[in-house]
Amino acid sequence: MRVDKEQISGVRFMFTIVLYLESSALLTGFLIPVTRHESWLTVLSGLIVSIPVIALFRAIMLMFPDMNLIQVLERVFGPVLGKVLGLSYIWWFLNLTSLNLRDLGDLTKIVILKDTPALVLMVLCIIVTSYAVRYGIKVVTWYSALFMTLGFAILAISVLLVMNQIRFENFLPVFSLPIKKYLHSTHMISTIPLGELMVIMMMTPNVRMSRKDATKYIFGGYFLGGATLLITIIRDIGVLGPTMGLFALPSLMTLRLVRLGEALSRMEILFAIALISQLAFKVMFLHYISVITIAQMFNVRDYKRISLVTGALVIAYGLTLYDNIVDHAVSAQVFAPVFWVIFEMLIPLIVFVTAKLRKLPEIRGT
Amino acid sequence: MLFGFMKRKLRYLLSSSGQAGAGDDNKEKRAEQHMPPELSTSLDENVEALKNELSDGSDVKVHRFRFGPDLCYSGALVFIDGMTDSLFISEAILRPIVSWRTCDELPKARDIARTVSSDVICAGEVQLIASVSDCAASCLSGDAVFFADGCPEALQINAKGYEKRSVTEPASESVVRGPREGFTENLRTNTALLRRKIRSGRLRCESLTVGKRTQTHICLMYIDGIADKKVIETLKFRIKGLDVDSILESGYIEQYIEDAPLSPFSTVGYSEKPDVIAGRVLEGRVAVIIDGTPFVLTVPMLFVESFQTAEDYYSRPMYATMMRIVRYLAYIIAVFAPAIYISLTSFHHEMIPTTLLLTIAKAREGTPFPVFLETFIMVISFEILREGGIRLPRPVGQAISIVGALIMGDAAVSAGIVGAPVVITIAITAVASFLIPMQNESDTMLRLAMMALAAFAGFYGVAMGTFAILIHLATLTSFGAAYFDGFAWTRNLQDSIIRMPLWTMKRRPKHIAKGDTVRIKSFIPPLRPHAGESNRQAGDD
Amino acid sequence: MALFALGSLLLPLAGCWNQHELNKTFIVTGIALDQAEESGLLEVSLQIEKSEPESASSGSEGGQEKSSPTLVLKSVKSTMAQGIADINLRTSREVFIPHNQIMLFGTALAEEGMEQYMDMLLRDPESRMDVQMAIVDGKASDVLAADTGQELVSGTHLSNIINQQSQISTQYSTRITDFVRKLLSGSSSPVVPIVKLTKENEKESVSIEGMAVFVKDKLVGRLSNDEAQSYVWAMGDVKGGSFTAGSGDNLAVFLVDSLDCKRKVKKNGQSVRVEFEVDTVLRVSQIIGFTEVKFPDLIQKLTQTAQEEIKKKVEQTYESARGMGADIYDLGLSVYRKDPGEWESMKDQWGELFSKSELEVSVRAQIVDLGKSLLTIGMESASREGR
Repeated sequence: MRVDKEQISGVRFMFTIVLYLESSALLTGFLIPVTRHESWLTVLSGLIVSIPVIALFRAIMLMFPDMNLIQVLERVFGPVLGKVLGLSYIWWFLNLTSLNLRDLGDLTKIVILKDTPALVLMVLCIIVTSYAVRYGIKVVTWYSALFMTLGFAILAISVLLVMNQIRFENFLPVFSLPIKKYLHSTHMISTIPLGELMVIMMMTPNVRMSRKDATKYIFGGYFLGGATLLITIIRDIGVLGPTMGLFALPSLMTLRLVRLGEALSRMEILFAIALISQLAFKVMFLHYISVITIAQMFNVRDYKRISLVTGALVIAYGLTLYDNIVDHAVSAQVFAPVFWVIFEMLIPLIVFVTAKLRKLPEIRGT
Repeated sequence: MLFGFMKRKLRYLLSSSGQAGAGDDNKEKRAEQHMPPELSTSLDENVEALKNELSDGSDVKVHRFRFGPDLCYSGALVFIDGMTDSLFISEAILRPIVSWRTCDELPKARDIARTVSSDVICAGEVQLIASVSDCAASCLSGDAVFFADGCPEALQINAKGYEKRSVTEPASESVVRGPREGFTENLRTNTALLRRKIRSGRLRCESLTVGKRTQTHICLMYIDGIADKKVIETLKFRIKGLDVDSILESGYIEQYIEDAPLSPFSTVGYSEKPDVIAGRVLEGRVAVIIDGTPFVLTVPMLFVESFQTAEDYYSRPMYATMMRIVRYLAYIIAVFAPAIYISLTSFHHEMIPTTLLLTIAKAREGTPFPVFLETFIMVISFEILREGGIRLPRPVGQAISIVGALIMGDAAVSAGIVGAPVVITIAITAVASFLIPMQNESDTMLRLAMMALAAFAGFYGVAMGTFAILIHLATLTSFGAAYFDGFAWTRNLQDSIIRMPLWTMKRRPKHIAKGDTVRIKSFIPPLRPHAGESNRQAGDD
Repeated sequence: MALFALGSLLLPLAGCWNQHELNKTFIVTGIALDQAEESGLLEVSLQIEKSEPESASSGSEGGQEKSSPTLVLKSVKSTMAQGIADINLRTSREVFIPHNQIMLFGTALAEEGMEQYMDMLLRDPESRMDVQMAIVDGKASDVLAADTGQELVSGTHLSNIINQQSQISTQYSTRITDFVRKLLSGSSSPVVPIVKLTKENEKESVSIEGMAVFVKDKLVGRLSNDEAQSYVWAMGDVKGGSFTAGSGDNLAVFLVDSLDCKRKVKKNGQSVRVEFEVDTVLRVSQIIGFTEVKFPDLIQKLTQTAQEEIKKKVEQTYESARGMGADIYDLGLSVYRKDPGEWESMKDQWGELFSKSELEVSVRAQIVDLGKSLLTIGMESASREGR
């Protein structure tokens, strides 16, 4: 049973992937304390290391072109184990959505509206995303091309405007840290911004693309999005230098230093709003994925009805996740990379291997 | 909620009358139930029946006379004074009938009407009708009805001669360059104006009649082979399904057939100019011409249409593109300017340059209201002024400008009720909203919503509100075509924000035209040498 | 539908937490920190720009004495954050910091150590890191209260002066972020402009008089305006400025068109050798004397004079810095960047190494422009009289 019957084109799928990765640019704050001014190296290595992981997602998508992840789990592992894994994925997707929503709320609180309770900010966002989710994948990804281009434009403008403050010396010295730190940081990057891309496996039946196109679109989107992450990190390191490690949100600090003459010197709120909108898009997308997963697992006929309720659940969960931002950062550095590997890489790998062993897509042929 | 109410009402009405058929069928069936449908052979009975049907009005004229060789037949002409051309009646109808003295073989009484119509009358549009309700309908349309004693058929002769407005420049859409003709209230004139623009045999004109008591004639015009059949079907289905009392204006039809009655954006387009409508019909849309109003509807409508004016296509591409971008900017200003002002001055003082901030602070020193209330007051005052300006009789028009400028602008600021920056912001908003008249309803409502959101949560609220509007636009469809497609940015960019040169718009927009999509087969592209010459530069020899 | 109605009712009801009305805020344009009379306490002064109601002043006639457009609020507490909170309590309006133009610190305070004050500036979301900072000779709050008559607000006045100078070289201005960056590097010494308040016949004026040198975060010494100029030269990327070269009767004034300096640090056994290579393009603004010089040799002579002068000045400043033990040239940082391993071994003795380091300056000057006239009057007359 297919929950959402609409389909989007492969190009729009690629734009969605790029936008999804672009939105993670703000969350670099937890990466920096580990490798400081060499973080750009680790972002690069993280991108390269994750290529096989993305290839794994693509392989699973191509093996079962009409089934989303939950259906695949049931098919490969049988009804019982499949359902158990499906439930755990529901939990994990809700986790993802709440974390990102919490980030959105915290970010807005710190930068723009300091006294407003995070609840209000999150409710405003979820109302809008629930409205979009009701109308399915088409509406959720309608503006991906537009927002992606806007994201590029904002990035380009911000780089141009701080260009005179970028100092090449901030990148030196290179390769001066112990290997363990590089490994740790690379692992963090491949799990947290890049590994989250596994949610595209829930969208398989909704995307219209051929085998050849799949490679083009998935990897194209991946590299484009990764490039924006890389450029953001490089810009931040270049401008902030050693002060980078002090701040919770280094990207915003860079934007604060943007000066276009005396008059336009405090424009960071405009940039912040643009970046927050990107994050809101990510939340909207994850909300959609969570709703679809729940609908698929529990055979809900009309997924529109659970949209708002799921949103409320996400808000409630998000508010109780962490007490403060320090806990969040610690969790992201220590706990998440280990735990998330299970959902992002281990289980898909097992799915792939099992499917191959059981020669599963036998009806379609390979 | 409202739409559900309407839907239920319609369903009830349709079920009670027994079918969802054409209005014509309804009329006839009811005529069958209440009145004898057929005309009898007795002249007096027919005339009485007709006068009854027309409620014996004092403007219903009956002219009885004898005609024919030896005055052997008696007949009557019934028409409504004021709706008919009396000169025409006397010269083209009565004169030939009355001077019909000779004939080779005397027709039987039953065939008089046919004989008169084919051999005697000078009129161009003559039709045989056989029921009283048809006679009444034709009288009410301005035709004359001819009865003959002994003949069960009557003649409907087109003698329309009521007062109508001549073709002038439309009041609501003026152009600097382009034709200045506008539609009038007469259906025939309008269809003729459109036909003069599209002289193609494939331009189809289908008539419908809607409205129980108004019997409004509607004409659907589209180009067979370009327009989408599904759209035509849906349109006809929706219009025929209307069993309503009155259709006085195209707005009535628009509200009954539109796809999203609750949305601030209208999904049915309209225009008063034939060249605009012709352009749209040529792209594959369907035009709905309604008798009694110069505003012609077109479906499907896209969001980008409200930013296109006819002049865009008559001007050259670069200027047209620039003007179009200005229009988009104006829309954004019209919707967001007050909200941005409220956000900046209430929440995000750091964004304003220091010197400007100090000026604004000075301006706000004496004012008692919070910014939201101030802006709200000014917006409401502006709406009042604008509405007043429309309703005002012309001689008093000067007073409005004085009242507006002095009281709103100067005195309010000096008295300290509102601050100068607010007045400036609202003035800019007002002027900007005049650039896109077709979206006036949407930008007024959205402006207020944005202001409320800005007062609540500053730029974040505005951003979320913008998101919500964008999502809403993404969900709108107009008769099957996606409303906001131009901004999904994956196709059909050539006519959205920019206006590409005419010679690049080779195909019609994909989602509107189904069928023949090629607009330009070939042309001599600019910059290529003229036929017969080879690369001769200007200034040679 | 119901949702919409509910939502629209809620919106105006809910309080708007972050909303502050403009006529209920005090816009801060300058902050000054001083040591208070009671020891251990801090005096925080905020310069507020007052705004008078427009309607009142629009009808006023000229000739009325305008009261000072700024207001200085003070509070004495043990920390900066407490001081600002205290001021908030005592005023009718909220204090609004993001438009702050300048941070001033009294010299007494600077000598004690600046790190603790940096923390609030970095942590508070409202304060900005790109604010200029300066050290005041004397009491910082006096500068805030000064009525210079030039600009409306002395905070803006000061930051404008500093901004103008930074057109010549960005090293003339130090923003909070620059200061912190140098502190974090572990070896570099921040350099901050010094502001002086002078009073002449009831007219007050503020000006920049030299720069203050810090070691770690404590003020240890000063550079005069001249020394500041050579410091800026040594840091390179200079786009303006002028200096006088020559001796006795022969003086020439040069305008710097561009000046770059490469700094190299070489380890020489147990000591450190520093090489500065200055490369500059100059224009001549005024020539006094030089009458014995023949025209073809003029450029060469001038170039020589300029080079000698630059070398002398740079060496002088280096001497002063060395004497203070302050590595103001980011030399330690450049060692770290080139070779972190070597830096590790040198790190702890850097202070000593720096004070004993040797300097070699080489200058290459190029004069491209003599202005409208080529010869001086003296030279012209000399050549007329006969070579």
